[in-house]
Amino acid sequence: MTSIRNDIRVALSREWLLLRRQSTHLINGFCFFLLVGLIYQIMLGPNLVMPQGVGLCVLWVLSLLSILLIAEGWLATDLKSGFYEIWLSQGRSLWLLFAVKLFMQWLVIAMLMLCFVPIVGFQIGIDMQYIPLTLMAMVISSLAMVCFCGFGVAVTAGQTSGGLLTAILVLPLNIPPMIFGAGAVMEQMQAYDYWPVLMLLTAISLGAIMLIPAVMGFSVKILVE
Amino acid sequence: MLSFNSFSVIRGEKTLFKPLSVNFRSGDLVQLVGPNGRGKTSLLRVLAGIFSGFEGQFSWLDEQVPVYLGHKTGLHPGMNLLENMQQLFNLYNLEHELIDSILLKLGLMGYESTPVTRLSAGQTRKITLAPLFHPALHQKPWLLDEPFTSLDQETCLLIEGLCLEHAERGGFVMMTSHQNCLREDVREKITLLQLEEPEPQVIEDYDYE
Repeated sequence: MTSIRNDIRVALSREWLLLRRQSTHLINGFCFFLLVGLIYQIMLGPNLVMPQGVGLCVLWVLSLLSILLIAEGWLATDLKSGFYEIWLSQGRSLWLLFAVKLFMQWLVIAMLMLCFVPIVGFQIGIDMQYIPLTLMAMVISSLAMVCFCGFGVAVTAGQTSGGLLTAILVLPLNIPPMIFGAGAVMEQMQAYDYWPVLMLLTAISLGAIMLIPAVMGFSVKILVE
Repeated sequence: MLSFNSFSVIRGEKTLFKPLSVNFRSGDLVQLVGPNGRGKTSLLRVLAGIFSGFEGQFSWLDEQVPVYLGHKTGLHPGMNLLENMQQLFNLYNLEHELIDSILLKLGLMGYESTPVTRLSAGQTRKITLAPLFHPALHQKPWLLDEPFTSLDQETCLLIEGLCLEHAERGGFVMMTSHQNCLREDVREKITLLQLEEPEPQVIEDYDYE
């Protein structure tokens, strides 16, 4: 049996390498985010001013769809190649592997969001004073969204129509982080205290990162068997 | 080294072979033989801890974690040969210092930066077998599923020699293969475990003629 520290070290080294080698998935996801966000405002035209609340919802829906696009290839290759079999044969924990995978993916996605959300947010009419809180809420809620997308990918891995199933599974799960994420900023827009909503969002995200890797590990273990 | 007690493998509702009770010692080189679908691969997967469909008991001496090399390579198509090998070595907790000398032994020197998708099936197979050359794995039992698939004759002889050395050091090798080993000394050392009807049979001195 291997130690937890060793499992984490091996998983981190592999995930870091994969992130560098498979950056096209991330680029595709964020190109989609940027392009749809920009096109949306162009389609509305210069005379129609979108309410800020609607703009926020568009922002969160876009980020969910981008994460779904990125998540598509998280497990399929390793499952097909037999990597998980070797990982399990050495007494290593799939739970840790997926916890590291989700955390690393979230770190990169959160960093990209810090770059792109202000651009798209500004385009779809969110006032600059709300951008810092929008960024904070987006980064926190994206952890839950990454985890729920990971759950969908793990449960549907190996299915022929996995993409559709993933979307059906993942969309309802992501409603709470999306509502609380956009909700925190809306509270600020109405001059209410947004911290309770932000705390609730943080609790959902932390719960997700603690529970979802175990569920993913269980699901992949069944698939490997 | 490895004991089976009324052990059989189950797939769904089906028992793949009749209960097996046998003890294997350190230094044994066991070849699993039998028709397709009789449970050779499943048996290795049970021993490796990645498949739980079995009845009866089995136990490893000192609860060792075996080295399992299955049908699938575990290699990532997005990485090159060297990166894949480093990741494979990490999985088995092996230091990277010996990678160059192992690449040389396997005739893979010069391919380090080649993506694995551009390598032949034999070259890919060689990468998965590379950890066996590392001394750190010489203390562990080896479970090899069709290790000679896609390999050229020279590499088959090399791997056979490696298995023989491992057994003679007091290690343990259990492998499946549909082909007889090429080396006479390896064939003499092999114990066959036939998973055939009416019941599994252990043959110590099989007459290859």
